[in-house]
Amino acid sequence: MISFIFRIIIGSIFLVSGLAKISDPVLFMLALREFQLFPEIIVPLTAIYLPWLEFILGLFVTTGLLYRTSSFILACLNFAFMIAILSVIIRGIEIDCGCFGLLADMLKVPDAADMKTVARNLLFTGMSLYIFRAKKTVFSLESYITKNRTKDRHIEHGG
Amino acid sequence: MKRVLVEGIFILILSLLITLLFNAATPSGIVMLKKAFRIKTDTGKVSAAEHMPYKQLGLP
Repeated sequence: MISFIFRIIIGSIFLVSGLAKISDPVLFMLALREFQLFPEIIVPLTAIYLPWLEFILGLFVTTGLLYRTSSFILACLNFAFMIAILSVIIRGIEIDCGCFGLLADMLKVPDAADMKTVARNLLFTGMSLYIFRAKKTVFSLESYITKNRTKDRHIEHGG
Repeated sequence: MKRVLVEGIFILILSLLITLLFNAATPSGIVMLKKAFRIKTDTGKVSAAEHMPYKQLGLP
C-alpha cells in the first residue's frame, strides 16, 4: 500500500512538472543554461527531451505500467538533479532550479536552487527507490495484465 | 536486472520518439528542434528565435 501511495505522489509530481516544462521549453532551456554545467550544444536537446521523459515516467509510475523500471530511472534522474543543484550551491550561483517550469511562477511556489530543493530531491530519490524495491504494489496496470494472462493460460490448459 | 535494462532502453527510446513526433508536429516544436539541431536560417544565424522569449514568437 505504501508503494502505491508513493507511486501516486511521485508519478503525479513528474506528470505535472513534465507538462509544465513541455508547455514552455524555452523557459526550461534558459533555466538549464543558468546551471553552467552542460555544453551549449546539449542544452536545447536536453530542454526538449527531458520534459517528455519526465512526463512518460510519471505516467508509467502512476498507472503502474513498467513501474519498477520507471521508478529506477526516476531515482537516477532525481539523484542527477540533486548533484546539479549541489554543484550550483557550491559554486555560489543563485538561480531558480527550473524544476516546475511555468507552474512555479503561476502558483508562486519557491523554486530556488537551494538546500531545500536538494532535500526534496533526496526524498524523491528515496521514494522512487522504495517503489523499485517493493515486491508488490496494488492497483497497477502491470499486475492486472499479468493476472489476466495467467488466467488465460489456466483456461487454455484446462480446456 | 536484465529486464530492467531492456525496459529502461524501451522507455528512453519511446520518450525520444514521442519528443521528436510532438516537436515535428507543432510550430513551436519546430523552432525548438531547429535550436536543438542547430539548423541555420536563411540569414545564416542559428535561429531567429535564439534569444526571443517563447511567448513573443506568438506560437502556441
